[in-house]
Amino acid sequence: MKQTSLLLMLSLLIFLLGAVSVVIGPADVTLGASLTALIQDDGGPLTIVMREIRLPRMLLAIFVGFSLGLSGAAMQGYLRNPLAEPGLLGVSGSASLGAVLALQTGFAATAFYILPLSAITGALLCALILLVISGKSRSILALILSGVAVSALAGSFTSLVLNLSPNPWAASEIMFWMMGSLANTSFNHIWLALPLMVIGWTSLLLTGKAIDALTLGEDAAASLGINLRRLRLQVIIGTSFAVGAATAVAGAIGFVGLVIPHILRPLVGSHPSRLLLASGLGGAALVLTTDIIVRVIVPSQDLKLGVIMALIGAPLFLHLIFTTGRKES
Amino acid sequence: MIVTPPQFNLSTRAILSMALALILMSIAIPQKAFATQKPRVVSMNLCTDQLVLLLADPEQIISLSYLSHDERSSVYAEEAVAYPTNRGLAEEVYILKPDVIVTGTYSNWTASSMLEQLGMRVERFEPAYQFSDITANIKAMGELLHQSDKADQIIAEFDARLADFQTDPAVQPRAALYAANGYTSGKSSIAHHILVAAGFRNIGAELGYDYGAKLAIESLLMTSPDLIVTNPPGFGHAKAEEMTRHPALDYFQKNMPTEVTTNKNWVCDTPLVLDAVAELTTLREAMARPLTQKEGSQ
Repeated sequence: MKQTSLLLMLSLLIFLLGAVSVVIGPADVTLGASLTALIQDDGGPLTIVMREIRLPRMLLAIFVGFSLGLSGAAMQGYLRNPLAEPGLLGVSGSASLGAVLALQTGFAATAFYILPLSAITGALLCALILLVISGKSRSILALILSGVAVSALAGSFTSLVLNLSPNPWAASEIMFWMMGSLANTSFNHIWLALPLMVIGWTSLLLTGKAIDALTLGEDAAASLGINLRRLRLQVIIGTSFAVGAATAVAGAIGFVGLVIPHILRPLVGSHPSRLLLASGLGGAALVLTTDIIVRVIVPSQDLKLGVIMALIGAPLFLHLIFTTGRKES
Repeated sequence: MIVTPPQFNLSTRAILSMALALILMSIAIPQKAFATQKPRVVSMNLCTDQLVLLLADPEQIISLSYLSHDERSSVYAEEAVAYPTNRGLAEEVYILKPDVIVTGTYSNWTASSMLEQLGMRVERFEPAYQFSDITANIKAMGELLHQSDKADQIIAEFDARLADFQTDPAVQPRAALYAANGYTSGKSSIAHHILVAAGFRNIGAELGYDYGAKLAIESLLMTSPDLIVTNPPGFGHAKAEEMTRHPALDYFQKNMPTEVTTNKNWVCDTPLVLDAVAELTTLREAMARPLTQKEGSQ
């Protein structure tokens, strides 16, 4: 399939899913009335519901999904490993820990940008740890297992911090920080995260040429004039900003970066660069779909996105482990 | 050696009579003490703490729950700091050997059942769902602590003050209670009766909720409330509380002077719930002016 037509189709899919997303909600209103109220101010509560509750939720699903899909594709391209993904490698979990520490110490309340920056710092630290490990061992599975370990560690610290919080509600938020949710998001969350996400996206989208060259191996890429140090920095900064900012407002959502590049890879051919933008759009469509599913299954409760995402992603992950292992041996 | 049997008989009789005397004394002494001394109490629940502090003499109070010292939820925290606290564990309460243990129906169930099995007297107090439950609880605690006169006086004052509130004003603004996780209280709650006594209508009751239910932000907005009463934020941070401060809720609060939150007066079954009613009544009178104009213009 041609790259442009794929991107167009994905964009159309996002548009349609976005339209479905804004007409779903616990308030009992007709489809026509809700869409009219979204476009035209009716002076009543419905316009506020559409514009201040459902619209930001839909937009944030797109931005968070784009960040996760794009990061997954970039990590897989850079590490030449189809199992690399921010959720599995602990980047999302570490971002959650950074955010939780900032919130519970009160540091996040001192300035509005502290929360996303703390999450980004958590993600950066995780990326650096993984870098050290991947430098020591070339094995694909060693990196994944290190990621699982970092992820477990970050998760247990997150639980510990939330359990030690003087706030009686905090401990029940372990679920949010580990499985992610878009419930009760507002435009404040978008203004908080979007600028930092854009920095991450830019950094990652600019890696295209370099990760294409990298398919020939590091030495060949270097001889083609690719600055490998710069590429590494771009991937780390890009992933940390995109995933960190997304996690700060939506919690850790796993498997998006694993599933989407896997589905789209056959459609874009053997160019990892073409996978970048397509995976961003695919991630947006997947998170939108999941956020619709959780609201259809239990309309009045806040079912976490990670529940559905793991149902889709975990079997695929197992499948990938089997096939990758076979190729290695 | 014919003298041995009478000697034996004598000593047996002596032992028996001494034992009997001891048994009689051991029954008689506590009974006598009970008659002159008021029962000493341990409370394991924040709301029974408040009732104990309201009614008991200082020497009657052995220990209160640790929450009794919390300035933000305990109305009598200043008085409570004079007393030791417990965390509602069976063993720490048992070694205090109180005459009676008081707790809430729905709190410390395991610990209080264990204490009952160990032979302690445990009295459980239902949470109050309406104002008459408050006076009933005060009366019951008064009887338990041998403080019935004090209880009757407090109940009389409470009823007199309650009767003074005008519960049926011309303009009744519609208020929604919105606590952590979007919980709103229905008609069987003290919060509902505080609103009604202050001349508001409770949206939770309008929606048909009995005790209460979780309400999504958009469902709350669709009811177009005149006032949203949230809980004050706790220490640390919780998304459960963050949601009650969603910016969309501000559209209905634009005419409000400040954010209106509940406070410790709303928490327990004490006469101070009427302070909460008084605060809200002042607010309702301030709100009534623009609302009258709005309805007049329609």
